[in-house]
Amino acid sequence: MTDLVVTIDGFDGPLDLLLQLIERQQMDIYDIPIATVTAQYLAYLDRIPELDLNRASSFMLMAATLLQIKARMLLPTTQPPTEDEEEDPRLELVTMLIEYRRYKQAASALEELAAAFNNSFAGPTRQELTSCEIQLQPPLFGAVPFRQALRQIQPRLIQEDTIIIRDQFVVARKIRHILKFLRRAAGPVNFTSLLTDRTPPDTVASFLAVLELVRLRRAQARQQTIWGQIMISLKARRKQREAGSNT
Amino acid sequence: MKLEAILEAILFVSVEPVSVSRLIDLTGSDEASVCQALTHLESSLGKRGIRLYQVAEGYQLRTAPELVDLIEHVAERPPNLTNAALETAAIIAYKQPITRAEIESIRGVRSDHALSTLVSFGLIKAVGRHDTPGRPILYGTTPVFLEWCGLNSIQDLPDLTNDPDTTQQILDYS
Repeated sequence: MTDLVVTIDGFDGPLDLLLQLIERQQMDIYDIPIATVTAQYLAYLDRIPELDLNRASSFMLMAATLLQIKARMLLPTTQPPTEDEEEDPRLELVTMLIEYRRYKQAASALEELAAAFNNSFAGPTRQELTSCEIQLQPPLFGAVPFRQALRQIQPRLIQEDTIIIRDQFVVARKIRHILKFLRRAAGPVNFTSLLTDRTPPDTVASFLAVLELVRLRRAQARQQTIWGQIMISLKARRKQREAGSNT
Repeated sequence: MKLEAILEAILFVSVEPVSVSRLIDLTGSDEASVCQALTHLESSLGKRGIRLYQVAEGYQLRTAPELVDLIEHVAERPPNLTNAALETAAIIAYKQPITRAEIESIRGVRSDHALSTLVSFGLIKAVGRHDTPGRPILYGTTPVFLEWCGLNSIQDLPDLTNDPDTTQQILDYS
């Protein structure tokens, strides 16, 4: 048996492997010795290290197909053939191999055409055909001026190191703060006035606190228009107690 | 200025192949004059470092192929494609429009990676969807593909190797 040195990665699939097995041993593709080819194919699969699952499945399928063809050729048919000529069990596989070979040869031809044509070069290199990487221009300015510019635009962003706050304590603190605020206020209060500073953590904590207060029926929130102001007001405690005693 | 010189300038700055109809539009000239000027341009560039090529249904200026050893240090060559990508491209070129499933049944392996490589290089593109359940994407080659392999049109693809009728051969042997 001819020894095949190339690893499985040298093959673009089972058809490629089969074709090379056949061609290297100069087998007649129209009359493939199925038993021999199957044995070689299986032996080859045994010798290679683990395939990745994607490629393994195609190779396994081909192994099963070869075995099936071999079986069909060995076993007598259960029924007499209905047509004059019995279909050769290898027919489908051979058709596939020949079709594949045509395109493999076409691929070589295209490669040669391209290689010859690309001895001449077109203008400033055609971006698509060279690389998919985006070339970053070297910076026109350094990192320091950039940070300074950022600071000017949004001082809040570069204020301090990010501190990861444990949510529940902040919200609890916010609830107490908001209740105090609401009691002191004469009437409904705008949500934004409840905020200590306008940072995202503060806004989120305040909003969660409001939601919690609404859930606990300690406060109510109203928004007249979409994206409009949210007005928060204390819910009167008296009514709550009365309602509770009635249930 | 002579039409030939004007065409030369247009082709230089376009980089991509330019069709005759586009040249007609740009110059306000007629087809006969443009074609004649292109012929003159081709012969006057004869021994120069830049030559006139007919590719991708248009005309393009490209460096003389004899200079490849030098020019490849100055400009980039298109990258080499893997066998898988080449096979996939060949199948699409000859059988377009074609779906991924059809390509995979010819190659006997999955072709997603090859397809995405070819798409990223602009050599193939989706040209529609097949009218079957799942409406799979149909692929076809692009003008960039023609430019890559130096063909003027897809009709100029070399004939596929012709094998004698498979069925007959097998029947003869059995």
